Amino acid sequence: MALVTIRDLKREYHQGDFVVQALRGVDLDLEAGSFAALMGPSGSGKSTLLNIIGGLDEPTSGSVVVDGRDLATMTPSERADMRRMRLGFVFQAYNLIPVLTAVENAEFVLVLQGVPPAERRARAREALAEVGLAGLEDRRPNQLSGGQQQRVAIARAIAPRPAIVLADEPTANLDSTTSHELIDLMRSLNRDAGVTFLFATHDQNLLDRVDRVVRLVDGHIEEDRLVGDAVAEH
Amino acid sequence: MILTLAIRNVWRNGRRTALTVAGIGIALALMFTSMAMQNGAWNMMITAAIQATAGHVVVQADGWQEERDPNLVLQRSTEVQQALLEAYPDAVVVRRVFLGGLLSSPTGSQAVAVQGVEPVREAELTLLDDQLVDGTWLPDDRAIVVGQRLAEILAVELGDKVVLMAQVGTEELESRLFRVRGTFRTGNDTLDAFAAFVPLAAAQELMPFDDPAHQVAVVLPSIGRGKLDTSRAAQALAGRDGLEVLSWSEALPMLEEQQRVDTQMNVYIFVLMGLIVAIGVTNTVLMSVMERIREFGVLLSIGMRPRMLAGMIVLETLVLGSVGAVVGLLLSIWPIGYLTTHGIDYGDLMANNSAGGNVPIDSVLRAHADVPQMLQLAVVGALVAVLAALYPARKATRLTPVEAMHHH
Ligand SMILES: Nc1ncnc2c1ncn2[C@@H]1O[C@H](COP(=O)(O)OP(=O)(O)OP(=O)(O)O)[C@@H](O)[C@H]1O
Ligand SMILES: [Mg+2]
Repeated sequence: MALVTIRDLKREYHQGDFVVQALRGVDLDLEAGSFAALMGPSGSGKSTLLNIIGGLDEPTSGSVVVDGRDLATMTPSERADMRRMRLGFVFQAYNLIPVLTAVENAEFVLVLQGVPPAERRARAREALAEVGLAGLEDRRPNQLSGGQQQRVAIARAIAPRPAIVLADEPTANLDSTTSHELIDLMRSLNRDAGVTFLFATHDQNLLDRVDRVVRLVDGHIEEDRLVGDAVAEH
Repeated sequence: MILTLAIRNVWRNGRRTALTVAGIGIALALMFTSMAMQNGAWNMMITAAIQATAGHVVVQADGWQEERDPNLVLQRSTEVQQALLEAYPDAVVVRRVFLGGLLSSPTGSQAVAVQGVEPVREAELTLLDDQLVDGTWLPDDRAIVVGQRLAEILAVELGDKVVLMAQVGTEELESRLFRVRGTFRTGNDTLDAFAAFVPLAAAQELMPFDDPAHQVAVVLPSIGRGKLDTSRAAQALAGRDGLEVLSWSEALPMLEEQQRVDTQMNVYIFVLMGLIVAIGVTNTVLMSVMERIREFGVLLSIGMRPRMLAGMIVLETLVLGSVGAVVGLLLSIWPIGYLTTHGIDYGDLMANNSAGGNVPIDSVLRAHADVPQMLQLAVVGALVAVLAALYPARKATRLTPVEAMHHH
């Protein structure tokens, strides 16, 4: 069974008399171990889709099953528990707590999970090493570059070993070289550690770095294809 | 970790935090200092009042407290005094007579309140023997000590003769000749213009009773203004009829009442100050919450429970309030220390305050810190800060992650 299964997902937003159809019937299956990019123009519904998969937003209709659980049957606090225990998140900005050091930020989800201090510290250091930040554990976010900050956010997301990491435009604030480095990092975490990634991006140049591209236009999937090595593997 | 986070968050905006802490600290320091001064004032007034017009325990003829009728006297007062001395060996026990009369000199006359006192024993209690501007404290049986203003009204000087007329018990006016041996100035106009002191023996001669006194007062060494058990006195005087045995708070009910009113005033003022501080703290916390909403959105997204977020905000404010309380305590050390050792010389201002009754009073007011009370108030201060955080914290629990992340 797929890690994420979405059927006929619709999401409408009401703004006064206005109805915005952010998602107009989306079907999607995502296997564990995927490295998939959500692409599409601004306003096409990428964030909406990621938020719904992450249990941060609720669909108007349709079904969403994540990690074997139908989100429609879950209460908000159950969804919060699922986010904490099973999902990783990386956002475009404001990911890190400015007053905590890199290792403390990387540790934060483990703190919320109630992992004992010694263990969580070790796992956070390990995760920082995996994202290439060994030696910078005690820096505060404002002592790190934008790319390094996003790496800390990735370390925080992967430290609890989640079923999937959802990343909404993690490279939007980075220059192209740094963006590519970050995607390459995610790619290698996917290959080497088996972390499943689904991330939204605008950047067409990333096309050759992913396994699968899901292109959203105006709230529905216009294109869903495997690329690069993944095509051959199939 | 959450505590560390809260502590660091508090210092995130150093200047704002410093200002808020200073606000809490200064408000508390002001409260502590004014509390200590008021404590000192009450200690002083009550001690003075107890020593001058009453005692920790007073024994009077039954009904005198209510009626102040000069005919209500204790007879054979020396026996009462002896019995009380045996019951309270450490105490000073004095007998007193209170008479209203007319004091006349060759050039004028004035209605006066005369106290007949035991010169030596009373000198241990009263401040008057030290506040004499001229002369000596009741050196002999014919001596009278009067207020300076009274001396001016009667145009008398040391050594001049005055006649005291009083009417007690009989139809007849009794009169007796005295010589002015001392004048005092307390700064209290009532005392300075209307009070006079004579030896008890001389006052007794004006009264047709057997060794009379209106009051036998027991003044204990240092018992302050606490509650008092009068049963020892009652026991010592068992078998004697027609007495009333009162504690200082019963003998000086106005003092108790005024103290209560004063404390009440304090409560109002403190509540007001607390409210002002709370508004300031709420503002600070609200600002710090508002500017972190997007960050909170991320925290909620990654699985932090809204309650935990609210808890963190409350914890931050508790840290803020506690630091403020400690700063308040530290800030108050110097002023209270100074006011305790040096005091403030109120001069006539203080003496004219008749809150303590018309009794001579030291013009230097010294603070007296009530440390447990201060600590209590410090804790309350920190809790008020926490209370001020509840509204912003509640706001934070209502956030949904997506809304919060899109907050501008
Ligand atoms: N909370 C909301 N209330 C109202 N409309 C919303 C809300 N969230 C999204 N929308 C609308 O839904 C549509 C899809 O938005 P979404 O944020 O998912 O697009 P996106 O593909 O992520 O765009 P971008 O590339 O700019 O991030 C847009 O038209 C947007 O204005
Ligand atoms: Mg988006």
